[in-house]
Parts: sequence; C-alpha cells; structure tokens
Amino acid sequence: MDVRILWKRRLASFAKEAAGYSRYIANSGSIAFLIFAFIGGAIYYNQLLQSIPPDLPVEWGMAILFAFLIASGKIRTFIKEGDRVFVLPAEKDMGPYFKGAIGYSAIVQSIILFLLLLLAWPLYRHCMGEDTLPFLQVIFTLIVLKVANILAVWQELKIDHRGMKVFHKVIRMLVLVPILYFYFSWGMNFVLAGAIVALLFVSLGYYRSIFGKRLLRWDDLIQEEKKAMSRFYRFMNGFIDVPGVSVSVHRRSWLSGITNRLSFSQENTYTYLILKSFIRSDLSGIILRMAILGLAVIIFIPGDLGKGTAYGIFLYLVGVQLIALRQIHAHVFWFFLYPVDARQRIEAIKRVNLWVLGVVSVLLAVPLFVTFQSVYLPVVAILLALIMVVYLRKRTTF
Amino acid sequence: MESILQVHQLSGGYFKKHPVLHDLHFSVAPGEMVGLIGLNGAGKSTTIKHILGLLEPTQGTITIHNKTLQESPGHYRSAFSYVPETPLFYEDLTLQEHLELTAMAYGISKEVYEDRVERLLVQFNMEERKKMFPAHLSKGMRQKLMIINAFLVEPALYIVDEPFVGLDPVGIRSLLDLMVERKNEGAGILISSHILSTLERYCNRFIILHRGRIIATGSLDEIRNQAGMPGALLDDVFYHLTGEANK
Repeated sequence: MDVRILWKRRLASFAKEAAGYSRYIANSGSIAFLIFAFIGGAIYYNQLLQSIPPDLPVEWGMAILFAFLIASGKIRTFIKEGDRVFVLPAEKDMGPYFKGAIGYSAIVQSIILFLLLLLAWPLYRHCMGEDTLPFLQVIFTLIVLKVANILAVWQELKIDHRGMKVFHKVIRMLVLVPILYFYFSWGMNFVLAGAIVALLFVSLGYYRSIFGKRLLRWDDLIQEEKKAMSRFYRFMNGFIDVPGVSVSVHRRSWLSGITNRLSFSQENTYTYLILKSFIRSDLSGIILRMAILGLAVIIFIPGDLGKGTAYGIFLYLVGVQLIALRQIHAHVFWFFLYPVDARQRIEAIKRVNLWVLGVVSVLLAVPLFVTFQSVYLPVVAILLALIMVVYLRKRTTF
Repeated sequence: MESILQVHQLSGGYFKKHPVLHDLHFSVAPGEMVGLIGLNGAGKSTTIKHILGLLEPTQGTITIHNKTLQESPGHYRSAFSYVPETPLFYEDLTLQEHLELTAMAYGISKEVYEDRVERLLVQFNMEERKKMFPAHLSKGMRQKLMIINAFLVEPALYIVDEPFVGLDPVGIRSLLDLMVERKNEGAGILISSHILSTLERYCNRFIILHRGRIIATGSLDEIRNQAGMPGALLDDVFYHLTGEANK
C-alpha cells in the first residue's frame, strides 16, 4: 500500500474525531463563555496597555517567549501500537508518511505561532513605537526558524538517551534567544541573515553526520503519540465527557461534608451521591470561578442596566454549565442493583441543580441590593432569575 | 425448608438467538452455601448476570422468595447483595462513603450501619483506610471494599463471584469466617470460584456447569458417585466430569 494514502487516512480519521468533539463544544455553551471572556479580556488588555510604560524591555520578552515556542513542539505521527507489527516491515518505505507528519506538525505549530504573535503584537508595538517591524516579515522569519526546528526535532527522535534529548532542545533554545533578541531589537540585516544561514548549514551537517544512519525508535514514536492523544482527550474532557479519560477528583473536605446534613434514608440515596460527586468534580470548580468572576463584574460594571444584564448573563452561563450534571454517574453498574427506583436519580439531579442555581442567584444578587439606585431593578433581576431557573430546570430534564 | 433463590429451567444469554445457558435448574436454601463451578466460558458469569437481573431469560424464571424481579423489583433487589469479580466503584467517593451510600440504598438506619461497619472494617483491617479514594487502594483492598459493602447489608442471599483472587491470606480467612457465620445465621450463599480446594471444604452443595449446562449437581458425595469416583478430591472429580462431557 502507498504510505501516502496511509498518512492521509490517519490524518482524516483524526480530523474527523476532532471535528466531532468541536461540535459538542459548540453545543455545550462554552462558546458563549469564551466569547464573553475574549471580549472582557480584550477590553482589559487595552486598558492594561495604557498603563504600561513603553520602556519595558519587550525585545527580551518576545525573544524568550518565541525561542521557547519555536524550540519546543512535538511531531504528531498518528502512529498506532499495531504499527510495530504491521508497518515495521515497510520501515524503509515510510519516508513519505513521515514527511506528511513533519509537514502537518509544521503547519499546526505555525498557526499557533501566528495566533500568539497576534496576541503579543499590541504590546510589542506599544513598546517599540516607530521601530516596530512589519508583521508579515516577523511571522515569516518565525516560521522559517520553526520549520528548521521541527526538522531537528524529527532527527532528535532517534536519540536513545532522555537527557541528551533535553540537552539538544535546551541548546536550540539558547541559540534562538540571542538571534531573536537581535532580530526584535534591530530587524533583519545582512549580518543577522548571514549568521542564521551559517547556523542552518552547520546544523544540517551536524544532524546529517550524527543521525543520518540511525534507525527510527518505534517505541518512542508510539509513546509520544500516546501522550499527544491523551493531552488531546484531556483538553476535550474539559468541555465534554470523553469516555475513558479519568476525571480528576478533588477531595474538597471543607465542603463535601455538607452531605451529612441529608437525613440517612433510602429516599436520599441518589441526592447524597449526586451532591457529593458534584462537589468533588471539576464542574463545581468551574461554577465557583464563574460565580466569583460574575460577582466581580457586577460590582465593577457601572449603571443599573449594566449590572442587571451582567447578573442575567452570568446566571444563564452557570445554568448552562449545570446541564452537565446529568452526565454524573450516567452509566454506573450499581444502579441496577440498588433496591431504589432509578427515577429517583433524575429527581436528585434536578434537586441539586436547583440548590446550586439558588445559591448562585442569591450570591450574585448581593451586590445588586447593595448598590442599586432604583428600587425596581433588583425586583426585575430577581424575576429574571426565577424565570431563568424554571427554564434551565426544564432543560435539565431528560 | 423453602429455598431463597429458585432458578427454574433457565435458558438465556446475551443474544436471544444464541442462548449460552440451557435449561438450568437449581436453588439455594437458607443456611446453605452452594458452589458454582465450571471452566472459563462455561456460563458462570452469565448465570450470575441473569440472577442479578442484568440479562433477561429467553426461557424459564428466576425467583427470590417466590417473586421474580418483574413482579416486585424492590423486594427482589433488597433480598440479596453481590460481590463482583472485578471491583466496581465510584471514583469520587471514599471507601467510607461507598458504605454509607449502600446503607442508604438498602434502607439501613444510621445506628445499625455504624454498628455493622465498625466490625467489618476491623475484621478486614481497613479501618485506617476508610477516608481513601479507590484510586489509592490496591487491588486487594478494593476487593475488600466490595466484600464489606456486600456483607454490610445482611440480606437473605449473597452472590459472590470469584472473591479470592487478589485477597491476602488473612483477608481470605476473614471472608470465609464471615460466610460461615452468615450461613449459620440462616443466609444462603451462591459462590463462584476456581479455587476448588477451598470450595470443597466450605460448600454444602455444588453445581458443575459445562458449556451452559449442568453436568453434575449435589453434595460432594453425590457428585463423586455421579462420576464413579468415591473418596476423590473435588478437583479430580471436576477434571474427570468435564473431560467426559467433552467426549
């Protein structure tokens, strides 16, 4: 089989999986939160820029940040465990497959470089003033260096000693820092360009002579790929429930004892379980952070209308997040055995949902009552909250 | 005496068209420990799944105290507890919280729960670990959690699936003592295991499953006679019977 087809198939199947997860993310309400956070962040960034003195040594910051980004970065190969048996015999023909992997990794990481440069650009321009380099030239230079580093990373995959791998990476980083510092400070000139080209040639010679004849280390490739996949799943798990990813459990002993207040009876079996699991989950952490953020926004935003709107938006966002409650212990074996009606589980989820929303709506309403100038608006806000609670409770049903 | 569990002409399996179990007929009476033995794939776990109500029989019925699961789910489910072959737990509950949850689910009062749990934790040497999450427990400790969980309920019937693997010798002894104690108090126990030498010493009766059918059943002497091997070890009898059945 043509290995190029194999590569395309592997890439396509990963793209399909990633697209599937992205759809879930879009539906989960996280997008609304991200847009909100983005707008808030942009406004804050802009305000922050005004207060930053322009003589900040931004060249050094840029040089260190991008040296790190360019020198690190891994190669996605989409190699699978079974390849050790089935593809290994064709190792000498695998060139085009790995070229695909190197190309893919270079493109993805260049996109990340582009986005981060975009993010850092206002600060860079703010500090450099008239000495600011053209954006396109900067991104081009960074991508050239990135591609060279990706090629080096590929060769370094053949190193058997962990320490030596790290050593190579650190050296690349240490070489990049002064290059980028000179570049961000004085721009591209013949001396710098000459130095970069000379460096590339030296590296080429070095990697050729040392690694040219070494064999691929399949175990390492498989391990690296596994790690990359688990990073991907863990990231996605932050938005939706990915089966097979072990979720983190937080003990939270300061709060989890609250379940002792439930009476020790059969009717409370599922309420006990759902409440305890909610408190220990990432979900409750997200809700807590959201509530604190909401509280801060409501306090600092000026005007009754602004405060009221912020109240509504944050309550809605919390409610949407709480839909994830129904994922808690959705497939647990023991439920089949308990002599308790399984419908009680749904009742318990609704109950916990209502409690959490109630606590958050009261908490967020505190600054409303303290700072409102008109008497009617808090009343409107509370009505709004009630409608929202009813609506969201409906959405939690099954 | 009237039996607790009655499996009546049971046929069933994972797919309706391909039954794994054929015409199983047996019972477990109060004060009785019944050993369910058979090779890998003989149908032991499938039989247990049918009793738990996870699979539906294609033919026949299973009753506990004369009621099927459909007739009276609450009554059926609260009459037994189960020790699974591989520990099954909630990642986000501590050992103690698992036990509290079970007590609540089976309607045990707080006082009775505290009384029972204290004894069981000491018996299985798990007192100091009750605040730990399952992720931090070893395989054997998780198995102990499952055992404490099941014996906390004190039901009429225990269904115990291969409990010895992974347990330390003291744990095995504690479990056996506990089963004898409950048996003497009038509970019925259905136990599946490959450790035939242990079953031989503790079980009153045996059910030998082979390819989904019962090929021998009865007390040790009765199955020895069925095999024509008086005085032989259960191990040898079992080996002989499954060998014969393959011919």
